[in-house]
Amino acid sequence: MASDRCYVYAIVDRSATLPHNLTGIKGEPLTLVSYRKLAAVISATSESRVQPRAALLVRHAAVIETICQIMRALPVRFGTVLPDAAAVNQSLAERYDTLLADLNRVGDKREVGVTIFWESAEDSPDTNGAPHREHMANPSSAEVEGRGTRYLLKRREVYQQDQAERDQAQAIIAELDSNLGPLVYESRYSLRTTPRASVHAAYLAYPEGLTQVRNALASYQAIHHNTHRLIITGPWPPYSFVSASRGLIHMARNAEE
Amino acid sequence: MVTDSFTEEKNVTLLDLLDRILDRGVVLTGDLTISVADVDLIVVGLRVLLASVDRLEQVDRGSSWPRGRELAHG
Repeated sequence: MASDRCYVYAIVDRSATLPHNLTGIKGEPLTLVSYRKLAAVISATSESRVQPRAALLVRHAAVIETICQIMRALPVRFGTVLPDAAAVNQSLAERYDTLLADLNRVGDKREVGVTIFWESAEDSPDTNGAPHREHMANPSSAEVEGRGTRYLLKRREVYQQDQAERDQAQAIIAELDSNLGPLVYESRYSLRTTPRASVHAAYLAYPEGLTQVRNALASYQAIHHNTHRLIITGPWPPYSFVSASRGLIHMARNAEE
Repeated sequence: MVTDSFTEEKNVTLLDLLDRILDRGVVLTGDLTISVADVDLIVVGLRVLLASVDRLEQVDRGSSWPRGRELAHG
């Protein structure tokens, strides 16, 4: 069984030195595959597919976490297996400019995750029932109401409810951006459409600035505790801020602008 | 209720971790589907994983999972 396949964890500087006691998936030793100024942190694997089992997910995250604590690094997505070291080298070569730029931009930073919940269903923004009340207050429209009309009115009500939630979420994002200001280097947001969760955010900051970010978020929470609640996670390696990272993709803001 | 809130926060943290390592980060191969990008595989895998947060913590204790990632309560 071939064991020269490479499982990739992170992209680091070529000059990086890996900790001796850190091992990869299934206890395999970590090594570097270098290309120009970059190197990929890899371990050997005999598998072409790595299943998302708990132990492997934890090991993948642990390796990246440890590496990011001691050197500049870009986290690589779970499950990245290449046929051999030459393929790793080729992959680095093909993406060299982007990877190097990303490493320079976010490699020395950490991200904080924030999920914002409406405090209760009653507190979620609504449309004040406007369409429905308007409709019910108009006897002539009630007389002509059929199944199709009811359907369309319901659809409009749902749409307006959704729009109200989005507007409120956008307002939260704007206020958070204002509060965090220069404390964060970049931010990413996505709007959730579940009944309770409204916004998922990630903030990129230098490690020494993370306490200030947390304090700013705590201050925000103290003001808005009646309407929504923040759950803060991290600090994480900068998963959300590498190029072509999916998930949180819009409303990026660069503090350097 | 404190217990419910704590559980919710633990779940958010776990989901944040999974969200990051499965759906974000550097993409080096165009066919990452070989590992995890198959939707059914992810869904099944996550269901199994999320069904047992305690089990994950046991795995956690058995590994060198770095500490210090405590929840901050907003």
